[in-house]
Amino acid sequence: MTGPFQLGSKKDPGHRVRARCSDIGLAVWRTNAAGLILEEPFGDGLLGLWLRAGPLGRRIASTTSQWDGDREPDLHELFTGCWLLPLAERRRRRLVGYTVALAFGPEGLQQPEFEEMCKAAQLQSVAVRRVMRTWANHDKGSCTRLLQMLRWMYEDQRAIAEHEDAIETFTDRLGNAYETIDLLYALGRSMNELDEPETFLQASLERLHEAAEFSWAMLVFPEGVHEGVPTRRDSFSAGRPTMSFPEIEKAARELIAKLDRPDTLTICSDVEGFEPDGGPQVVVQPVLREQGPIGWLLAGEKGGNDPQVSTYDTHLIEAAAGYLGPFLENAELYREQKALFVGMLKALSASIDAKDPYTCGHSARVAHLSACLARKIGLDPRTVERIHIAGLVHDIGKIGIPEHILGKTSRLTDEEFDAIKRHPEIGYRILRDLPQFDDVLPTVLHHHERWDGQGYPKGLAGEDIPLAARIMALADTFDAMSSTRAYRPAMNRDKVFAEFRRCSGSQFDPSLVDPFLSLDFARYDELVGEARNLSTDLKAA
Amino acid sequence: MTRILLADDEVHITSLLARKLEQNGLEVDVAHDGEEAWLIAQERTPHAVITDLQMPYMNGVEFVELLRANAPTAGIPIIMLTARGYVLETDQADRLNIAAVMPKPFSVRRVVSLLESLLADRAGPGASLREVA
Repeated sequence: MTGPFQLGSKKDPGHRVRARCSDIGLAVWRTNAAGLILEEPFGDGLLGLWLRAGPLGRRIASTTSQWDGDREPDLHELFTGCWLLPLAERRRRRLVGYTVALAFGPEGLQQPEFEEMCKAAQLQSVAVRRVMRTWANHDKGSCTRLLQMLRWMYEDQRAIAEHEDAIETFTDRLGNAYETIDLLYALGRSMNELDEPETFLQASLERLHEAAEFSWAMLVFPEGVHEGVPTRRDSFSAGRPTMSFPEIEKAARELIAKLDRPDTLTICSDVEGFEPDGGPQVVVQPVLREQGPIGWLLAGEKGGNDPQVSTYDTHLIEAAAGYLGPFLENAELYREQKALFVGMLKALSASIDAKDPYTCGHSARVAHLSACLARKIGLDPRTVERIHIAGLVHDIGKIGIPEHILGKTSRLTDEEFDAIKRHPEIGYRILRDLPQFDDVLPTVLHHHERWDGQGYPKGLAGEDIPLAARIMALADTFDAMSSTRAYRPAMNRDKVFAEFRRCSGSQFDPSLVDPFLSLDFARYDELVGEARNLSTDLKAA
Repeated sequence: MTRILLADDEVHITSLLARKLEQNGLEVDVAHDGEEAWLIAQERTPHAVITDLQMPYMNGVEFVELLRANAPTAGIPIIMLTARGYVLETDQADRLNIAAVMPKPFSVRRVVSLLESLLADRAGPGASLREVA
């Protein structure tokens, strides 16, 4: 049933009660706590005009203004057969106003007061009476019961509204908790990706920006200081700020320099240099390692419903920084360890190459060319790296070959040649107890195999030879041909290339020859030059 | 108005998503199991569906199979929620043209922005699976 009055709809329990009153044909007014009328009943036609006409409103106002502060005013008979049903509205126990319903009994429509009001409103009382007859069916008893019902309904609606509020708050908090868990889960899962710290840092900032309502997030390291940080970049950023990222970075560095406590989370307001109007808030959180901050995580231009930085925001940023610190530390340790490992291998291989003055720098060059070819044919970065390492150690077995054989200038006897042919197996045996070389072993063992099966030590052919070993065979042969050896001078590049093409499909995997010959040999030639200088130095010494 | 059907037996998930989606101006219908979801889907023809995988009476896959066999909903974008650890077979997600699989607890913001982009380009059939984890 739709009544003659429509009220604006808001989430406030008073509004809900008033809407229901109008649905069942009760006209309602709203007043403030002092009884001043704020809202009149809506309504079309004659009835609406009559309800909003001055005389009725004035009579109601003169009554309500006397309630001023009354926490539970009683049912009030305005005149015979016309009652006001006052409902005190409270918010958190404070009186905020009254909802006043108007109820008529049949005798109310016959009173002189009714006639008077119609007259003053310039309406015909007969017509008004006809419209009102259908709902002027109350008496004092029904009004008392109705008022009690309204009070209960108001209390129920108030409780419902409070619960809805609470649920919304819980829901928002739950949403925030989900964002946090999701962010930390993603960060935690990527923590082991130490190989590519920059990818991790960038992804972390993107995720932080997604999870928090800040327009931007940035990670800055001290400018130009890369010690102890596994990246050459000075900053990482994510988001869609008003300012450009370089502007933010500049302002951020100035802000960090001025912080009283750069080793703890700070929420800065109205910071110079930040738009719009200083930010308005910028959160600065240090990324800590044992010795102190190594970088700072910043976020600003908070969006969403509340532009104030909340504890959720700061928790999220603190938690993200909590992951970044150990990650940076681990990544740096990993980088150092890897550098040490490769450095040791280079030193080792160089010392083997030095046994033979003609092979100075050979392992480093083979490692370089093998890695280039591996990259060229699309192998993944980790495999390329492992092939590089295999290149460094591929000739480690030569440590077991007498120097007089390696450096012999005249033709080798069959026995001597057999001794040389044992170096892949010797290398294999030297490395096999080191788990770090498990994946490199087959390359070391098979780098002298040939595509046609005529190589050594196993005589493997075609794709039975591991791919990395096939790659290394090209690099190894190329460097041997291009270098002066004890028993022959170096061949020029054209001749080497021609030889490679001739041996494609016999000595070499035919699918690798073209990619190999299309490599850029500039760096290789530099390595040749460096080795020549070193070799000269050694001879001089 | 764009109608979203949200099906999950976990009321905290539906409250959470419904609130965010409504804040973004979408109309949300909530179902608490697969059967109810299917009834609402036929009655309301939603523009997109977010459904849990494990639900009573009818699970998410069975529900989506019905949606795909029903002409008005055959091409609508669908996001599926799963408990962490449960992985939907890739070919199943492909076959049912599920736009994304989100393991719980997920980032609500990402679900909402993903849904909005799906609605914006209305990729329909042929949209590729995006594993969002």
